[in-house]
Formats: sequence, structure tokens, C-alpha cells
Amino acid sequence: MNNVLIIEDEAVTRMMYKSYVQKIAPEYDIFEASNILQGICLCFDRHPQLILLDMIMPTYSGKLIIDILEEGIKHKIISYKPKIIVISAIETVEELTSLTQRLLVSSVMPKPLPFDTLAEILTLHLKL
Amino acid sequence: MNKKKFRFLIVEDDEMIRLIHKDFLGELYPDSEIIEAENGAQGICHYFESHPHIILLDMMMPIMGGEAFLDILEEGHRSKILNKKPKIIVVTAIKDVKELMSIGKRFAVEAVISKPLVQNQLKSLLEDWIS
Repeated sequence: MNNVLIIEDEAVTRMMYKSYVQKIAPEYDIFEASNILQGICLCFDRHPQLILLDMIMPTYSGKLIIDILEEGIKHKIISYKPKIIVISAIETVEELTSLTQRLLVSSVMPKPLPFDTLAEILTLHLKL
Repeated sequence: MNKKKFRFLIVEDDEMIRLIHKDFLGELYPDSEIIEAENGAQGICHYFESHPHIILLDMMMPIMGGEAFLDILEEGHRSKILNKKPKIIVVTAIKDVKELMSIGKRFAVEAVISKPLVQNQLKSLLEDWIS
């Protein structure tokens, strides 16, 4: 499915990501979630090929969706594997290392996001 | 609800309890499909993949507990991403009355049963729902 899912709690930032992805990958449908719970539901409903994931959000962090998808794949409950680009203000090397070791995490990007790098990563992962 | 096309999902980390639930449901409804999950994360994956009609949900589990499971379904319905409403029976060791009452008010939760599960309680609930 040609879907991209953006999970980000700040509306302005979400809109910015959306218009950027639309510009780079106009043939993709873009779905937006303002919290991780919506993001999980949209992920299962729309099977996005790529997820832009903010890690730090209120109530539940981005870790929850990674945990769920990894558990589903590990136990062969789900068969699709979305690529996840984590966008996060990483503070320690340990944090960065533990994220990059996760099964579905394709890239970890700093926040605020350098858009030129995002363009390269989207082009690479969406095979544009 | 029709007995034959019925799907149960058991979300419980204790293998022995899961087996007891499974055997009990299997005896009551031999033509039903019974899906098992060891934690809330597996449970939510099964929920979206199989859309079970009735869910037996433990609250305290590793990786992801019952609270997050209920939060996901609640938010999915609130934001109109999900349109199906399962019947959830929470089976829990929680003893605090206030906590039990607040679980009972959650979206899709039809009953809260204390552990150890009294099978007659479960049977009478199911008989009301399944023809």
C-alpha cells in the first residue's frame, strides 16, 4: 500500500511533515495521528509502508508502537513490516543505540528535523 | 451472536490460566475459534488481525498490560478509526474496589471478574450473549 503515517503530537510540526512528504512523494496517501494510540490504530488499519514517529509524546511514548509491531512480527501474528523513521531529540548514545537496534527502525533523525536529510531518507526507503 | 462463527481472544500471560480459559471455552463452544495472546501487545495484534467477538483480558502483563489495550481501543473508537465494538471481560487479580469500578466503566468492558475466575460466572455471562 502506498501509505505514509505521521505520528506527531504537535499540530504545526505534523502539518510541516505532511506538506514535505506530499512534495517528495505525491503518489503516497498520508495519514496523521496526534498520539500514539491513534497511530497504532491507523497503522493496523492502513498498513503504511513508512511511519514517521515522534518518540516523545504525552501519556504513551513512541516505544509502544515499536513494541507492539515487533511482538506481532516475532510471533508471526502480523506479516507486514513498516519502516519506521524515528524523529527524536536524542540525548544519550545509549538511547540512540537502543533505538537503532530495534527491528523496524530504519533511521533515527534529530529534532528539529533537517529536511534535506529527510528527503534523502524518504527517497531511499520509499524507493522514489 | 452465532455460536459457530464465534471468535474468542484470551489475553493472559499465565500459561496455565490461559489453558484453563481455553479448555473451558472450547468445551462450551466447540465450534468457536479461540485465539491466545501472552501479553497486551500480542493481544492488540490479534485483535486487529482477527476481530474477535469476545475478549478475556488480564490487566497486569509484561510488555503491554490491559490498560494500554483498553486505551488503544477507546482512542480508536473515539477518533472513528475503528467501528467494531467487541465485548471485553476483564479477568483480574486487582482487589482495589475503586480501581475495579473504573475498569468497569471503560469502553467495551462488559464485566470485571476477579481471579481466580469462577467459571459459572463466565458461563452465565456468555449464555446471555451467545445463542
